[in-house]
Amino acid sequence: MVGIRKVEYGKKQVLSTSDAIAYAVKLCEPKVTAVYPITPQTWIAEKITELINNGEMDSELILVESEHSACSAVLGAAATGVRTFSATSSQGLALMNEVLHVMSGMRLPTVFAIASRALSSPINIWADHSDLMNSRDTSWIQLFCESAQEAHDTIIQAYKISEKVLLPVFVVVDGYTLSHVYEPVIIETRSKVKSFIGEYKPTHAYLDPKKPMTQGPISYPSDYMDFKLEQQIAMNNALNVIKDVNRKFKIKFGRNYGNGLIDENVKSKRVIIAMGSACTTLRELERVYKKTNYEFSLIKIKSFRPFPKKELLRALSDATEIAVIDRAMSYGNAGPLFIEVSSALGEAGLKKKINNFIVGLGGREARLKDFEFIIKNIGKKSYWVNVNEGKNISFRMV
Amino acid sequence: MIEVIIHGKGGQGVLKASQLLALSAFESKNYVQAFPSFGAERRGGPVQGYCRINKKEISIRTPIDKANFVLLFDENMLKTINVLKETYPGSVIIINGKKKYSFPERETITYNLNSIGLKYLGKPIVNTLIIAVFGKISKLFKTTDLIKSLYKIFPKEVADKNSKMINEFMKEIKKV
Repeated sequence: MVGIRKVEYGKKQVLSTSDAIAYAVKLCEPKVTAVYPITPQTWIAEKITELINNGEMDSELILVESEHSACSAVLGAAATGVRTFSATSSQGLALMNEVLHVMSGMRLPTVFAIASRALSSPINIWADHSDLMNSRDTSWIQLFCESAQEAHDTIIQAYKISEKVLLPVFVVVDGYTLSHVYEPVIIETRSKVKSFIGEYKPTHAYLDPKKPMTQGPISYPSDYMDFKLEQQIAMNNALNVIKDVNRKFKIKFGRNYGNGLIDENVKSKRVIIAMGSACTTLRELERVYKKTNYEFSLIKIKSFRPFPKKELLRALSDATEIAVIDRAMSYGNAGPLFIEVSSALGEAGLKKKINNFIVGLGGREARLKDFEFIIKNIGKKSYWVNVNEGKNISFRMV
Repeated sequence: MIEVIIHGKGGQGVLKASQLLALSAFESKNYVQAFPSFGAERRGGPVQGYCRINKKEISIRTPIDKANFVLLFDENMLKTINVLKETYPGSVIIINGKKKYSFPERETITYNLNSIGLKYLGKPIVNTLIIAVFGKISKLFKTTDLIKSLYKIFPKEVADKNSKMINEFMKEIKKV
């Protein structure tokens, strides 16, 4: 075991991000946890199985034979109206894909912790957002975190969000780069978390032997699209719910993360937009370059789905040059986050100089000199950063 | 900010060492950030651990390529590791080994920790000892901070043995 033997609730201590997530899940008391106990699995699942085994956590643990089954088991449990949890990454998340759509379509709330990692081929186990981008259109909420504390806090927020809007939530940390980092983190107390998220009382239809019903049956062309519209409305509603939960979290726990959707304080006309653990370093560099020729402001996108278009456009209103950092690629076009930002700007009829940097695929962590290169090239050409033995290769599709 | 790189082999407790280093430095009121080398490690294969220690909150998450301290679990690793490239002038290199080494503009400290491990644990396990040496040289935490941290991550009987070993070893090197 690589974790800590005993945590002190309500105190700051040094834990891995994975442990910080596992303890947050424990505090939220899911009745059913289903995981596939093989690689690619995370320390999160290891810690949770340990907590259940030694009696510290009361949850029905189902160890299944694949991630497809893990997601299916969670789906079944959630359909009976109980709180649930799972964790996975990379190929595991890809294998869940079919069931992810089923779960959101059935409007079942749950929270999954994802240590985001690359997809094969070539085989690679390191940090990368490709697995999440591959799940982009599954109608799951995606919340990207940058520290152990944010991950711990976001799990707690996620249950409240999910149970309110009836959509499942991914809480995302960069695999290894964040999931395996030990740093100071406050583990909250059971009573505070309990009073914040409350007992889960499902308001939607759920399986009950006393009131037999069918869930998730066929929907003909006469109805299917209407269900799907409801899903989109729920995602739209999630924008306000996420902000509201983030605000209430701050009142209760004293910590918040921007407005819950994005975190920004744009002062400069030059802007960098990013997600995940890179934001920590970028925020430091924002301070370093302040009042220099290369001054810039950081916009961290926390909620990739729903995408906070309105908040982003407001933050970008005075920007003239924009760089978008992607840790994934939509092959044949550009980075997925870049496409989102461009689409938002286009829809609003705003013309800005915008470029895209593809950085850190498959765990090739950005170094300070890579960040410096990006900062000096905001709004210029688009690049794949640090490839072919340290070169920056420009690419354009048009 | 102080940065540390730890080199060992899979199974020697490198990850525990970096965790222990972070916990001990945190005990003495520092901000810390520790992480292992990320990979498909095998028993016996090369493994690294990394740690940042700072008086202020740590605001970067980049890899550590060069460090103020490099700790080597085994002197044989000098054959494959370029410690000069991983350190600055003035950096300190702490080695578990029998021979003495010297590198230009670097301070090098060698202890035969295998023999201490064999004496107290019955095995040449050196991960807790090398962190004790680091604490003493860097003055970033006291032995008592380390002992306290041992009990947070090891079962009591393992922590008892290690704490006895570290206390005895510290008395010994005080005499030298």
